[in-house]
Amino acid sequence: METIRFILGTLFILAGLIIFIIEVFGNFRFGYVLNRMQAAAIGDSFGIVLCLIGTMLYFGWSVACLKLLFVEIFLWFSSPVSSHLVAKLEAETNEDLAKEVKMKTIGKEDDPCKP
Amino acid sequence: MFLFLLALWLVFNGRVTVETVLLGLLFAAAIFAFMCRFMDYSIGKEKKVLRLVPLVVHYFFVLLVEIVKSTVTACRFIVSPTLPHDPLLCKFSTPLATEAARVTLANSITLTPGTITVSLDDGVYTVHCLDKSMAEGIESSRFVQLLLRMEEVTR
Repeated sequence: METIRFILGTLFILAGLIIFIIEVFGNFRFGYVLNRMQAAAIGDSFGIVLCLIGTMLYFGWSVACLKLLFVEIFLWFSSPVSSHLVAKLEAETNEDLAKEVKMKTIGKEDDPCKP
Repeated sequence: MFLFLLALWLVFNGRVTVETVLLGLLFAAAIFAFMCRFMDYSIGKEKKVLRLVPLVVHYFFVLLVEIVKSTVTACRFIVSPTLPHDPLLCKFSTPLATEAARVTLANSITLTPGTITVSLDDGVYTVHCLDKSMAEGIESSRFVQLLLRMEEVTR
């Protein structure tokens, strides 16, 4: 049982690390801020969860496991807020936004919109 | 909220003994009383929230599945050298009425890799997508349906 838990935990942490590597790679591959943030969001939301699940498996059923769960929930509430603020700043201050992204209003087709 | 505070107390405490549970009950009650008095919480509202629990659990699992799916999609865009991505900034509105549901939807959209909520004004969302395929059906996703059901339950 102990060995199975160890192997599962290691697999989860490795998967999380692979996702983080892809994230960093994407950060350098994309040229524009908002696209880079999308790459960063991968690690923020899913990579960290895999790593924490791996750590939780190491600990087994204990208080530390529950504490890690709270850490996870807190991260899931706070990280969207910060990325939203950065994205808003970029969208409102960049004058050449239309060069970087296409804009579209869903519901009313062919109606380019301003953020 | 009371139960949540008590659980938080017990988890942070690390031991479950008569002493910690009694102290936890006392402190949770004190904090909950403070919240009812000054922060617009009430026992009636808490009862409504309690009925939401199954839907919230369902929502959490839907969110997890969506995150996994869109992580795979976003990773494909990053890793593949040939697959072109086509960023899109789209605006849409949803029939959600309450502020809490709107914010939850905005947070969920930002949490799923490949989409970021840029702004939210009066129910009109501006969302940046890594590729236009990710924007398809965003205004009537499963999140929206679940949140609409939650709004009906709490009404």
